[in-house]
Amino acid sequence: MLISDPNQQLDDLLGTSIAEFDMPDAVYARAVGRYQDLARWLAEYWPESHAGGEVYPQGSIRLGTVTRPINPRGEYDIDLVCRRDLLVTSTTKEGLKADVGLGLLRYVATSPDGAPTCSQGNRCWTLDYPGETFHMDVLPAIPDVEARPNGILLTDRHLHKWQHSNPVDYATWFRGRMATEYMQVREAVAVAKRMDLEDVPDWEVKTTLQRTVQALKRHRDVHFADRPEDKPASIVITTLAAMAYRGQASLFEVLVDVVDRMPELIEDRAGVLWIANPVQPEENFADRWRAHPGRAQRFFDWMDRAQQDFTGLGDERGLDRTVTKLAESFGSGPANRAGERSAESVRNAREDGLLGISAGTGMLGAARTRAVPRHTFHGDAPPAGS
Amino acid sequence: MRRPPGRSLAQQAFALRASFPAAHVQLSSHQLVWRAAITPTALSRDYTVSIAYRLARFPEVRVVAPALECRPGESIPHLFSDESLCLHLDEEWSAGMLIVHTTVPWTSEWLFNYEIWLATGTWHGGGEWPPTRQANSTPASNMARSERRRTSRRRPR
Repeated sequence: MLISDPNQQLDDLLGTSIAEFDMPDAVYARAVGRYQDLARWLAEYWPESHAGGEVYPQGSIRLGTVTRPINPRGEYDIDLVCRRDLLVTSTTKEGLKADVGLGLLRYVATSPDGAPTCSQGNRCWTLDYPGETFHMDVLPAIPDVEARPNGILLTDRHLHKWQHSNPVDYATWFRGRMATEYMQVREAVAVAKRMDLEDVPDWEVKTTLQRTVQALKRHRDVHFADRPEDKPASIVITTLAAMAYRGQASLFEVLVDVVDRMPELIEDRAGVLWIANPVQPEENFADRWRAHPGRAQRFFDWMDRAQQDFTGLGDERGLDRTVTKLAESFGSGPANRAGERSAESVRNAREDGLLGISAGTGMLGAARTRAVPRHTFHGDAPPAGS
Repeated sequence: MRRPPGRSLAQQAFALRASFPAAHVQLSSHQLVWRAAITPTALSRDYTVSIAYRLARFPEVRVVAPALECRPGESIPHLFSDESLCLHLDEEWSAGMLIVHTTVPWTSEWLFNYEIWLATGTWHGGGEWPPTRQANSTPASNMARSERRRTSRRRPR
């Protein structure tokens, strides 16, 4: 606990708020167990059919940027790729989708742990686990022979054409952007938890880049709550943030710096706004803005707002103001939780005899020479309305 | 256990000056008034507080500026009806203690918890609120009782 440094204090409040968007460790561990079970089962089943395949996570679960949605159900989306090792010439989009669906339905029929049910969407299959706060979207794919070993072809929303994708190389690119900080955070976790470095689970390591992406995704969800159709895609946010990230500083500084630089990183290619997929430069993540130019404008407006909101966190004095501003960005639940955690840490420090104050200012901090004695806040006034 | 001997007003003032040289101390034969700026955390406001102390009484702490704010429809927790801060139970303070080591840090902690309360509506600093001894009483008897207890509880044993 250190609350004499404003940046450190802001980082603690921000970090605690953003950690509220994480999947709880136990839920995460169950989700991983569920998809690994599915992957194992399919790996045994497929050889009996006509081709092999693989199931693996993609998107935020692979990047460590899962962010609790604010919709009423509040379920986490877990995106899985189900790659079937078929040639593009030997299958159709409809055939691939049916083939993957068949495997999933057979898996579900074995009554696996978690009792999932399987349903069909436009493009993917969804496994729902009753009583769980997550569901899994399984995207059928085949290998992209032009982009070996990790390129895949996906069916589009309307099963019209094949789309190139490469979630594995994208994740490698994203993680490469934060590799130095990742190792340092991981070492710090290993020391703090007295674990071997290689035993530290990936989800316990959060860099300022991952926290920044989570913060932006939540800020977006709050900002676009009334017009979700205008929401910028997570891949747009994640890509620009990772490009803008310049290495280590405090979380607050990284957040403000990244938000400041993100809009500048969007290219203009012959009048088309372009956010290149870093592992497939011919793919434009901002492609949808061509058909909806208003959305591009609303993206820039949102960036301005996010920049104001995050920069403003450090502007005013008064923890109540800071917490209120956090609530404007992230919702009152995570903001209040950050305030509460901060208060708990002070109270625990005092109860453990570790709280002190600085001479001259009365600022609370670690006890250097003399600890704050135990005491009990009391009073004589009845509360209002009683 | 034997209680430590009581500290004189001059001793209290000396200890306060040593830690808060910029603060204002007014000392007379029967009363010490200390006025200082306290900033409980780096992101908190600077509060001007005054601590008035008479021998055989508890130190009385008030926030001079900025004015304390309420949440709509709620009164500030851990505040006496005369708006002095309630920082401890009777038995937790005695005249042998130095204000600078007790009342001052408790005030800083109170201000910190007040700012969090202002945002969240919950007092996370612990303590008893509302005071349990007032349960089942009418507002009128509360007031009378508050006054009685106030007089008695402000005199350390």
